[in-house]
Amino acid sequence: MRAAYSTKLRTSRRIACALVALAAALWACAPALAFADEGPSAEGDDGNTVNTQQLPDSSFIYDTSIVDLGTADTYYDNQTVQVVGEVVGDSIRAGLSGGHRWITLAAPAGAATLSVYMSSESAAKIDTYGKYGTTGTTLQVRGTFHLVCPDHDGVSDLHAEVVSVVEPGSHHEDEFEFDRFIPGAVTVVIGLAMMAVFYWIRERRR
Amino acid sequence: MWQRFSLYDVRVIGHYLGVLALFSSLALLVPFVTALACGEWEPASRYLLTIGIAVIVGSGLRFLRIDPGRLNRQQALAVTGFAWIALAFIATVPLHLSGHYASYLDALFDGVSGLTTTGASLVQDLDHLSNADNMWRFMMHLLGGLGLIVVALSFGLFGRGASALYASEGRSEHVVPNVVQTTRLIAKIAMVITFIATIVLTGLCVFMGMEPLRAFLHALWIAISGFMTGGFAPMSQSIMYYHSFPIELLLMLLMLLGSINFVLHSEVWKGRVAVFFRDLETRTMVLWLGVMACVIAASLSASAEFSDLPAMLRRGLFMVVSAFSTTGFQNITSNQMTTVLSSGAFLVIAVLMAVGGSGGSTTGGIKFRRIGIIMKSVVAAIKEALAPDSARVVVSYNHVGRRVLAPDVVKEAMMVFILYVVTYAIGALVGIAHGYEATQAIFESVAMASSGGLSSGLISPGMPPTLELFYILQMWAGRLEFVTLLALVVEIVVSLNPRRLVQRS
Repeated sequence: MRAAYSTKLRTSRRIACALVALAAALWACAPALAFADEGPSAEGDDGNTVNTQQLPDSSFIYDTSIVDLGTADTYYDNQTVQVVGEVVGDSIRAGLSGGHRWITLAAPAGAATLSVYMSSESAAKIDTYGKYGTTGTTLQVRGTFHLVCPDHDGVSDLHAEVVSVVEPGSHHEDEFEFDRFIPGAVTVVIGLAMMAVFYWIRERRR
Repeated sequence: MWQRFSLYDVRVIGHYLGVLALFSSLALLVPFVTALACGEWEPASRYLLTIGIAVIVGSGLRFLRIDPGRLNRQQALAVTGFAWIALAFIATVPLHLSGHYASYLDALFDGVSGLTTTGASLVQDLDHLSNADNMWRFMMHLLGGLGLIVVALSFGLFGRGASALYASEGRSEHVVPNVVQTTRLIAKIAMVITFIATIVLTGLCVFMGMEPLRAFLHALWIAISGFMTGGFAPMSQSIMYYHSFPIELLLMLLMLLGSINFVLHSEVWKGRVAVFFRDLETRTMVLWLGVMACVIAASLSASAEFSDLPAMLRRGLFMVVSAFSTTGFQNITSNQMTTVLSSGAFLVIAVLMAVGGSGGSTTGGIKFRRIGIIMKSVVAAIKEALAPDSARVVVSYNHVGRRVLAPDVVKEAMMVFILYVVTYAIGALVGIAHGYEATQAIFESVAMASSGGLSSGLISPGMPPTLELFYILQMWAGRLEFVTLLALVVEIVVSLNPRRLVQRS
């Protein structure tokens, strides 16, 4: 009975030791794991390393998607959020002062869009606006999401605080290819020939 | 005894459908030229192919009857009924080939939605759609808003049988005695208003920072969509995209003009403004909108979000005008409609769409004229109940002159009212059967049958195909105001039943 008890005690001690060792090893590796996938960084004025691509790590910033905000309920209202999306359409003047612009951010494949209210300086970072044949600049925007904005007569918007360019836009113009027009030209010629035959038959009947 | 189609009828109907298909090839030239002008070669090739298909189909159908003769009423009814769906199939071809639709059915949904001026859309990535495709979407609104037959008649495509065709498209009033001249006047009024609106909107869009070409195209498209009470918009955020109160104000005016009977438009143009204000439809509209605006304002003020006056006026008023005119423009998101608006406000918008605008306008829904006539018939019933037995009760109303309320007018109004309500109810049940919330199912059903086009989110790529098909049917039936469609369906069923003895009149 006593032998069995001492065997159990030894086993428990071994497990405890193993867990302590594992915890110590993880603690030692933690800094390396935490910064393993960091993007580009820069040395700030105060000597701190600033990572411009750093994803949110504080509890009051919600890294979310435009699709989520497109179906957001009151939980997201007035929260600080961060989204990434393609700029589409135009830079629309906000008010008469010209200090701010309305930008439309689109989720991949245009699944959802979001109105972003930003300063003209932030909007100046946008090099391309998405439209047919053009992929707009991809922006990362951090700001306050309003389900019903009190400053803009109830529109659902995001007031940008930090705007950074993730990827510049690109143009992919349509190239003229004669082969593309052959099926259309053939059908038009056949159709016109049929029409001519119709009028010929009708005239013969008269 | 039911009438049925003979082989001769089928050949004549086929011939005239062919004429309309050929006409659609002319309409397709507009996006084709747009594509060439904007250097959009891939869309240009698609539109050239579709023009070819339309010419082949049109010419082929015309061979069914070389000399078709005059259209009778039954044939005209069939031509009108089939035209809306046949042209939708042709219109869908370039949209489907654009790669912006998950399936052909989705593209067909947009084709029918465009032609019936419903305005609901299943397009994906709209913000990257080519100018040519957008031009075609708004051309569909233009053709459908005026009426396919009206446009065809204004071009003089149907020399004989014009009157029967005109009546079969839900229009019975002549602005001027001649049908072709009437259609030309309707088209002229629409073109002048759209032209003026396009100029003003272009200026506003340029002021907001848009490039001149984009500003002009956007202005043209939203002007067409607004006056035709269509609802398509060139950007996925609808009118909210512009963040401009002046644009919203101008569009509200356009939607209001679009929801007024063309007969009244012509009276105002002739300087008879008093006729407009005395009209039964105008008075019903003022009363109806006044009551519903108060109800929605009370409902919005109960919610914390839209209770402040500027938000209520800007968002609430725009949505009221957009809903009653069955346009479907939005300056709030679909998400806001379902999460922020109270269920009361949500249902008020549905009721506004259900009733719609004036008869003989570009709007859908039951129409003010019918609501006014039904109310007048209630007044007549009360008067009859209170009058002595020997008295003959006469109730009259104003509609381009004084008219006596006749039993056949009341019967028509009641019948169409009931058919609309039944269609709304069936559509809601179909939505519920697909597992959706009852309020959303009711809202979407009303939006489809009334050609309102506002969506609470049910209409999206990936929706059940059976529901999509039903909504296509609802849009088609609602645009033709049921009678044409029902008569057509009955006639086809009877024609396919060889045992039934039929006596031709």
